Amino acid sequence: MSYISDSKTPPVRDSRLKIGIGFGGSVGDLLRASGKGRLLACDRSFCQVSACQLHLTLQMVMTMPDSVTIVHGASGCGAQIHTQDFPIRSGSAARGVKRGELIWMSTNLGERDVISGGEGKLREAILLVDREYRPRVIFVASSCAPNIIGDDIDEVADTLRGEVAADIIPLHCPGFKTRVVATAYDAVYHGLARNLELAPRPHEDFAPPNGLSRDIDEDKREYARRKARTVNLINASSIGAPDERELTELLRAIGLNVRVYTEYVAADDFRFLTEAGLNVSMCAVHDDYLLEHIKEKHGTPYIISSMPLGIAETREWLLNIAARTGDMERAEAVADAREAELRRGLAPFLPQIKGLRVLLSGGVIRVAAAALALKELGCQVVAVRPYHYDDLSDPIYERLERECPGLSVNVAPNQAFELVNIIKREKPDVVLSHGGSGVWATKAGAVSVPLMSPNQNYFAYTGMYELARRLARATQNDALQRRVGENARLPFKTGWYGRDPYSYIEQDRAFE
Amino acid sequence: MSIIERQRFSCMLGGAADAVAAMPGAVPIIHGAAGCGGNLFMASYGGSGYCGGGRFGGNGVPTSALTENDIVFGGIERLETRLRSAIELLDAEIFVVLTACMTEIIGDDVDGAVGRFQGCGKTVFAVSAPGFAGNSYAGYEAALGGLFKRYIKPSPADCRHVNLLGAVPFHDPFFRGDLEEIRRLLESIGLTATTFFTADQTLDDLKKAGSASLNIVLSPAYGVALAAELAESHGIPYIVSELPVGAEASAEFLRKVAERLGIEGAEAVIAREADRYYNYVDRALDLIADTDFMQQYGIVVANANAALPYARYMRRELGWLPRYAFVTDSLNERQREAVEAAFAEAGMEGLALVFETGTTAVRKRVALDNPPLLPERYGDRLSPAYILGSSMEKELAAQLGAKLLTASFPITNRLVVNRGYAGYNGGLNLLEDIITQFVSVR
Repeated sequence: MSYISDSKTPPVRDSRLKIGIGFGGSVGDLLRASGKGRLLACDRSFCQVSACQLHLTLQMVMTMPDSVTIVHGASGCGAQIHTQDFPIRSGSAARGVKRGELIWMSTNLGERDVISGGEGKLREAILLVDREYRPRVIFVASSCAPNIIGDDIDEVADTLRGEVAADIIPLHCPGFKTRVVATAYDAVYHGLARNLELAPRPHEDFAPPNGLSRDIDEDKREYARRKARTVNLINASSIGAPDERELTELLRAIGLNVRVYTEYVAADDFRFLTEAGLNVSMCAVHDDYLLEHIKEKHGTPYIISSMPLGIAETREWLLNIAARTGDMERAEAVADAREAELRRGLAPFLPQIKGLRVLLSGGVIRVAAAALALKELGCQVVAVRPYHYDDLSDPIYERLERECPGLSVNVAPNQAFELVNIIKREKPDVVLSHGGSGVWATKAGAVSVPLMSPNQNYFAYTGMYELARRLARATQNDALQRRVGENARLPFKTGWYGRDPYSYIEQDRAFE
Repeated sequence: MSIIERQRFSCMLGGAADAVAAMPGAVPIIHGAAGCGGNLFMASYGGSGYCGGGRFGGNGVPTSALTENDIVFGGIERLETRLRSAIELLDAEIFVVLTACMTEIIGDDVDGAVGRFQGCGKTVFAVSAPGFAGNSYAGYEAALGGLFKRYIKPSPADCRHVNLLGAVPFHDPFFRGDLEEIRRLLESIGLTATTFFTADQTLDDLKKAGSASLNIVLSPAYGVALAAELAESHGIPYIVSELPVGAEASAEFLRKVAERLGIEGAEAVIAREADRYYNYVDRALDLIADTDFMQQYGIVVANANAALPYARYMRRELGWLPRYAFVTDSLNERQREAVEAAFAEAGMEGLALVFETGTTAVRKRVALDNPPLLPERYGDRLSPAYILGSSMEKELAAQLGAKLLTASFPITNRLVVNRGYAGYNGGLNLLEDIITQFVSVR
């Protein structure tokens, strides 16, 4: 998988992995269908809008301080940054990263550009941004139209490299190329890895051994020791600063030096990315593309294992790391102590939470990890609704099958019509919902709690406590949901609620 | 269309989808990639003071969800399948297929496809709305134009009914409150009005639009071309008015409409409204008149619809000194001239009208005109200053040490529900919000 070095454009997950965006059935059936590669063919004959990989791409790269982003496309592409601006600025502040306004440009492609090409305008935009804002990095994110008409953004970047002070990082993220928003992780990492230095510069960042200094072998051993005690946590927009803090604290407790990459990191700090003994992903759906590349080129091993959400997953996550760094004993002691402390903290909430029937809707790993965590709290999981499915997620879904046999899974990029049908049918006490679905849950009369939020803590022990506290709070008063449920008008004909929620998924072949 | 810094609008597709979903019983169906609708809604939602998708909008909008294969081989089959399902599943009457960039570039025969749905018992039609053909304001006009062409039949004129055009959903963040208040004014002189986008609208209101005896365009730039078309196609004459904000502008608006339609009794209404308006203003004067809030230099940074009404309100209602009106839309020559003419007619001496889409450029212009004081004891300056702008004017406010009320797209620091700044009630709301900025730190 040397895509990063060999190809201008990243692969899409539709072909790189076994993916699917439509399915309704048991977790066992899902795993079997995915194993046979039959999910991709499960198409919907009705479909509601979702986001595209440009959206997540922007969410990720705009976190880089001292960068300006140019969206190469029509004026609508990138206009959603008005919504992304605040989360990114507050995310910067929460991490102590200095960030003023977020600046972006649109090449604002018009009819004439679509006919005769938009490369000239892109060139103009890059020169303008370099002159006007003097950023360290200029990202160029290309959307659908320029990809269809054949604009070559890499070529434009190459011809300007000598002319502008900024590093130009092309990002290929046209929405139509992939069914899976998560392809954005590959698009971003492709751009970063191909265009940023990932290793320190001799003489600038460190003094290379010159034979005149002290014992070179001892220096090398010392360097290796230090590197081996350093771990990179790989973050993402869905993971907030409070989660980063909790995980950092846990790893420090077992004596490791922790750094967080790749979001909210300045371009020059990427030169130290490879100065670590281990890369640790916080979510299995994010990072394999980058971490495999770093392993290949720089020899840094990595761990990708679901998500440190819930007591068991957190312990496993921590022990996995400790096993690599040789800190098992300490890690077990830390986990034991923190678990005991957490159980005391949870005790007052458990009677209220126990037996709550919960539906989960959102990211593929997160809904599964959160479902397992809820089970630990004594809740009953009604169904999980991952945005998509891919074979990177197999391990945690296999575990889900073991612990919640027969659990219903609805693979759906939001698709409010299926969500509302399931809510009307199952009447869950709570819906844990990714942004964009809480509104539908509420209108269907159900209490909803955000499944993720960059300002809240979900991960590890404090995250588990916060989740329990939030569930207990949310289920104390459902007046809003009842009032809205009685009065809001949903868009569907009432007959819809009597039908199978998966009526519009063509999935017969998946069950063969 | 030139490159643009931080556009304060989205594309034609976004504007068209917003407009269709804001009308009663109407569903947009996006013929394009699955992400278009979601991304574009994030733009409108995030900038409009968090106006949600409602019944048929937001991330509930149906789409043909094309992928790479469809771009190569054509997406019509997918569109037909998913449109058929939409009609089966959704409790709506009007289904509007909107084409995105990719389906226009590959040349899908969308009219042919929707033609096959004639006779299905619902109104189904297509509007060409590729992002590269214009911005969201153009999308608003295209969607409304499509509705008039395919749903609203020309009917015998009802001399008491008018339509309100020009207030653009989401991009005029106060569109619902404004339209409700304008209709209240019109009702006070015996008229009825189709607003298209307020919560009370029904399919009957849409149909009734065909019998209007006047289209009132509340914008110098948007809806004017559409109104001219409708004069031809539906025989409805039109007038262009600025959005009236405050007592003076509202009185002028009522006189203009009454005169045009030959309605008597407007003066009594105006007198009654003014009496009520100044009764409220009176009670605010105890605070305003004894403080520094009394008079400010005004800076307006807004879209073409709001720039003049806000500047005029500052000057003629508050007695402030508006110095700049930045119009941040990208306008064609005709629209630009119309905005210039409207400002000229309003007589705003001392005010610089600047067409500038870029936030940085707005700030630069103000900085260049108002250089920092030389190290001298005495020097005049642009202070105290007050900005009516968008959330992107925070830096300009910091630069000038000015107060800022966010009143134009994008508004990210307020939730706008049914608040409006138009009419008498809107004028009072605006007074309340402007002055609240001074006391909110107390």
